[in-house]
Amino acid sequence: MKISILILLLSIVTSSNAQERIFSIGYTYNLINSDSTNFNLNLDFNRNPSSSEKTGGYYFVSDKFTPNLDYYVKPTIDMNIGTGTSITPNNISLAIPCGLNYNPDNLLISVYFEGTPELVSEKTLTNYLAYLSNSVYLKYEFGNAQNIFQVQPGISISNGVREYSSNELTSNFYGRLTTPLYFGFIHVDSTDVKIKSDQIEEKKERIGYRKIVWATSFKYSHIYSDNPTITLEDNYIYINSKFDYFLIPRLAIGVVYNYGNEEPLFKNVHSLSLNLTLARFY
Amino acid sequence: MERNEISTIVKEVIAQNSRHSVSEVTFSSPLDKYISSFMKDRLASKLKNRFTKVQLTDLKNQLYDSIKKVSQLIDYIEKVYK
Repeated sequence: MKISILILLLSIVTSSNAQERIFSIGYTYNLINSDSTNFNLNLDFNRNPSSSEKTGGYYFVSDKFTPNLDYYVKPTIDMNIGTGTSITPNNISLAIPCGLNYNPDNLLISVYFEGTPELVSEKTLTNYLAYLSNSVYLKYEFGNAQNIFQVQPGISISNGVREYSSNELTSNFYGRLTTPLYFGFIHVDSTDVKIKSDQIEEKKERIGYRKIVWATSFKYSHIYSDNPTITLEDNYIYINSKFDYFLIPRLAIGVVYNYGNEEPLFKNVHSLSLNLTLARFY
Repeated sequence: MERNEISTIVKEVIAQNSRHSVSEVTFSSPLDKYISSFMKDRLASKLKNRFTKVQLTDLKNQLYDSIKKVSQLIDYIEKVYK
């Protein structure tokens, strides 16, 4: 109950601010079973999935230590919920990344050092992980005004506990080492032409708009401490790939592919979904 | 600080943090033309180095929320210096 109240409060706080993808709702074709009657809902609050899972959004605090070194605190929420167990990880995560960001002057690359208290719950909120993640990652992008490629490799170590709402089970330690790798590609093409609005002034009007966003994350996780009845193996991978075609700046149709095992229950996920994505800005 | 001076510095910082030259940065263009959302926090950080009165937290949040065009960014900084 306390967790659900916390989720609700943080949702209200973070969703009221900058957000590229508000949520996507989709129909899922399940690649494992022939059952294709599933629906899924993904919400990203205060995250910027088209770039990476951890950059952009609304900052609680951000300032400078030195001209090239910033510090920041930024709350985030991610929910992936579906009607089937193998179509989406069925998790809800809350995190408050606190980090340092180093921006060298002559390179378009940034280095992030992050300490993140994080809570990852399964959708019924009966089993959840609470841990502190320490991460280092690089951010780099290249391309031109219309086509941008982004690469973000990193490494993260998380230590905490797994808690159960049921009285029959006790809590246990949880430890994980993860190497996330994000790829992104954005194509934006908005055509502006000059038109004469009246005799005096020239105005520009948008006559075309095309935006394509492809974002893929690959995570390799080594679980070195957990309840062996939940994590049956020590090593897991999880791949999430999203492709969005924006019809208008705030609405996209897309395809999402999920494969692998993800926290907190590490159930096998393998699905391909058709989605409608609502975005707040472009 | 005068608007002309602010404009010159803003164009210079945008050019340094994108693959465009200063002459290519125009006031009426969307910021997204020069800076992707991926790089907005970096842009804010570099602007703070030049405009010390600007609050970095607020600038970052405005860049992700309401500032869409180069001219809006200049308006924001001009307001801080008034």
